[in-house]
Amino acid sequence: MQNNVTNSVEPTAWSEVAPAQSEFRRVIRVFFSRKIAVVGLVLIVLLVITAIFAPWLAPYPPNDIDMANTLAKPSGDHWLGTDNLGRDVLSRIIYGARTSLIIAVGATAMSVVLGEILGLIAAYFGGIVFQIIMRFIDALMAVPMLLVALIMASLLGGGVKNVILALGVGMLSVHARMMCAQALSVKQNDYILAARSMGMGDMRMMIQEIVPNAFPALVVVATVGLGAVILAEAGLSFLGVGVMPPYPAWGKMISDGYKYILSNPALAFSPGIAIMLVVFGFNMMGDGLRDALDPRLRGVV
Amino acid sequence: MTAYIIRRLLLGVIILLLVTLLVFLAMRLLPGDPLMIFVSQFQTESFTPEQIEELRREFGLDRSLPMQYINWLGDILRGDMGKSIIMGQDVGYLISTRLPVTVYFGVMSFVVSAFLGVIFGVICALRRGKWLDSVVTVLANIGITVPAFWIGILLMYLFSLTLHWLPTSGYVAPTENLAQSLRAAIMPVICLSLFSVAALTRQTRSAMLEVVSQDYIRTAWAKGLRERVIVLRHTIKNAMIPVITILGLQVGLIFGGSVLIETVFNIPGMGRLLANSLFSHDYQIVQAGTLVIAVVVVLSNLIVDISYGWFDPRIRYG
Amino acid sequence: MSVLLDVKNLRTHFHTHRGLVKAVDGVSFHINEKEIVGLVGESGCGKSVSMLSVMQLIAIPPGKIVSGSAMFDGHDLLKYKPKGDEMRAIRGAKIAMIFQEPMTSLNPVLTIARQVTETLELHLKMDTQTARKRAVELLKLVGIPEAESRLDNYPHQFSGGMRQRVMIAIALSCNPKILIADEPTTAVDVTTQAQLLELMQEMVNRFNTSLVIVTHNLGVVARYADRIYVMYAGRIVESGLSEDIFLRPLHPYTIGLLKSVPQLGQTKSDRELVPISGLPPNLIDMPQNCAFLPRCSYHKERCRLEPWPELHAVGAQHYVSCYVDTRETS
Repeated sequence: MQNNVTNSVEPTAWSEVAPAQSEFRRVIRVFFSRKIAVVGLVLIVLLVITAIFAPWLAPYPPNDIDMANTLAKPSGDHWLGTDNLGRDVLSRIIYGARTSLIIAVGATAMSVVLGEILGLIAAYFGGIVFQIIMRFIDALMAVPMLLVALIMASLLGGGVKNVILALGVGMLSVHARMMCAQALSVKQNDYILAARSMGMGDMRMMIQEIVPNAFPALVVVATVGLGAVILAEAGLSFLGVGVMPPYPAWGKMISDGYKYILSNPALAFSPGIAIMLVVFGFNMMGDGLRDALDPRLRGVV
Repeated sequence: MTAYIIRRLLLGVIILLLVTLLVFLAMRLLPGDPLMIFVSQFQTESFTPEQIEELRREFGLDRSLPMQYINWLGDILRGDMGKSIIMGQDVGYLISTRLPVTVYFGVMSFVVSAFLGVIFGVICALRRGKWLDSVVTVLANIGITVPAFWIGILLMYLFSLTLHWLPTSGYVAPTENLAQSLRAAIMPVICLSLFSVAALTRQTRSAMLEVVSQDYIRTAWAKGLRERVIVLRHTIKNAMIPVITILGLQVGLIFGGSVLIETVFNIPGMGRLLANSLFSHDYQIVQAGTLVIAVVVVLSNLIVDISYGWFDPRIRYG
Repeated sequence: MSVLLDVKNLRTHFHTHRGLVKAVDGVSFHINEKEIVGLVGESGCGKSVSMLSVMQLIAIPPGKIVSGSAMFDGHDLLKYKPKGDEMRAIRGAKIAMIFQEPMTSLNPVLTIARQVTETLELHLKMDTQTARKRAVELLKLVGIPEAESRLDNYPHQFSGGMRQRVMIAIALSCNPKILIADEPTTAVDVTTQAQLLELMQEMVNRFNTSLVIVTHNLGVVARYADRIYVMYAGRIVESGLSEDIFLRPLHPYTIGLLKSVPQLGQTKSDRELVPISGLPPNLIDMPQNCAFLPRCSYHKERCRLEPWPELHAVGAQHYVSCYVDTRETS
């Protein structure tokens, strides 16, 4: 997690004279020098593969009910056993990867796009616009994210689209704050003044100058955000306002399995392990990206 | 300083107003008529349209939205949180019985998180690269990935259902039987504080390592000070500055987590009250409950910002 | 004149992700009693690392003291454990250090009083009240106005020059035998620079302390140093009395350094300033032969073929490591 070579006393001695390296190659090199970040990347690649190839990987269709074989213990036929409707738990976990990934990507994309736009507008225009936008963001942040999502989801009703909307709104404030802070600091830089003096128009300047500079922070926050969305989605599903049955979702599987914990503990435990692995993957990737893209973000993210 | 606090409190009031506005709009504009849900609960009795209109008037739902909001806000300012449509009880009374339960668990979890998180983080930083650091860092990295409600189920399965060491349900009033109460609180508090302990460990460790590489720490070593003095006097206070920020965030996270954990352990707190009210669209409880939680979060943010000054003399409040 | 500190064959290496950096590679020097010594070289030549190594203050890892000895008071400092009691009894008490960045070398969250008194309490076993009184005296001595009232201020309430004065007060508080000043004036403006150097000279005279000034700026040591070591790429390339170095420089690098800085008594018309061409060497995977070779205008075939020469005596206290006799060439 930590850079092990930054503590030397006189770093200028060799950094000054090092051959120029392309930024992209440097980022790749730093990222891959963190073993734990690579582990995270591998986990996420596995998640994506599982989600895409679920029909080929899963031993059974996820919603095949087999009432003759309910709550079976793990066996050769059903590696993780079956649930109260005789559905194969492993297959449902594999299909659940799809649900998690779709929701994580959807909600993060939504919160990033809306959040960054709001943050950008607030920082760029300043004054009353800044006050209005940021006070609403403060208000969103004053309510725990899970509660915001819970309010939204329970009013909108379950289903993938509504869960994405609910979590997207829940995560919005983080991205808006981040973007606003980044854009404000970029705005102070000389090259923005230079761009302005060269007569660059407002919108063009925002997009051409501020966005690329704020990009590293955006990538890092969004990556860690993917994990946070998956955790929150699991929470919503657990409370019964998430993805609607029979669509397999890990959180819902835990709450269903909870009722039958004495018959088959794997029912409740295995989806949790899937969640952990995926969230761990996103977090460690986020840490690696942070160290590679912008170590100054350490402590902020 | 006083001027700063007053300004921050005014800002807090504005933020809370916006919170009420957002929640109010969400509850009224999104689909679902609370009155219909209420009516549908009584399947045996049949309501005539006139009776429904009567109820609608009684709860003020016949007025325009802005009027409803202003009325509700006025009531809140007078200390009247309204009456729950579904539960038929005074919202203020409901909250006053449920909030202390959540606060009881929340405060314990917060204290445990702050204490353990900082200690683990400091130990990791001091033993950087050694096995203890590696183990705790890996555990902290796992800790921020565990779904709290899931770990709750796991603990309950292990300690209650299998080993029979701890009770399954999580709440006994401390006034009733303190020992029983604390015993029942063990698992909920672990669940509520797990993420926070892990997040604070990570933050403290990284802040400590950041401080340790600063010039003034080299100065301290050059003075011949003991390592213990360098850590306690020169490092920790500096490292706490970024940690305080993360610590402040835990208040909201613990409140959010209590919605899940109170469900798992069957605890009659705010979290469960809010969750149940949301499912039954009991808007009066949701509006008031969210406001109460937002007040706690806004106040704790203010405390965090004031405490920066205690750790960092460079900060001026103006 | 007795030798206080005798460093022999010091090697300090750093393991970085790009390879092994031999920051200090076989350096020997000594400090006499009540002497002012200059250690001069470009940034990154290993001069600070040499001094930090003697104090065992380099970060391990990535750093490592590979070989060498540092005899002080009959003991080899490098044999002590870096965090052990014996080493701590030297630091701040017998050998004190002040650092380059006055803005970051004092702890921002502790009062000046706390930072001055802690060495007094630790090494001189003073109680809080005595230490506080002594701190006021020390601050007055280094020229801090209204010392009593400023004792409870925090570092950010002081200017850069004032903070460096506080650092000097702390360093001298336990009456050390040696004061190592690592680029003490680099980060302050020119007027303050002169004041600080005067102050340090005055203080070491008063306290009978030897002073080591580590700097990249020959002009800084010109007026104050009795003896000078010139370092390049982790090695000492020339050493001698100040007169030797300034009036009879022999190593091409020293000559280059002198040409690149304005000297006292010279007007602009006397001579043009000539910067040394090229960049300092990359300290990773250094060649066996002279590291200054690529930038040297005196070099001969021999320099290319043979390893970096050892220091050899050219005068009573004058040593140089070069195959070329620059006196002949010029």
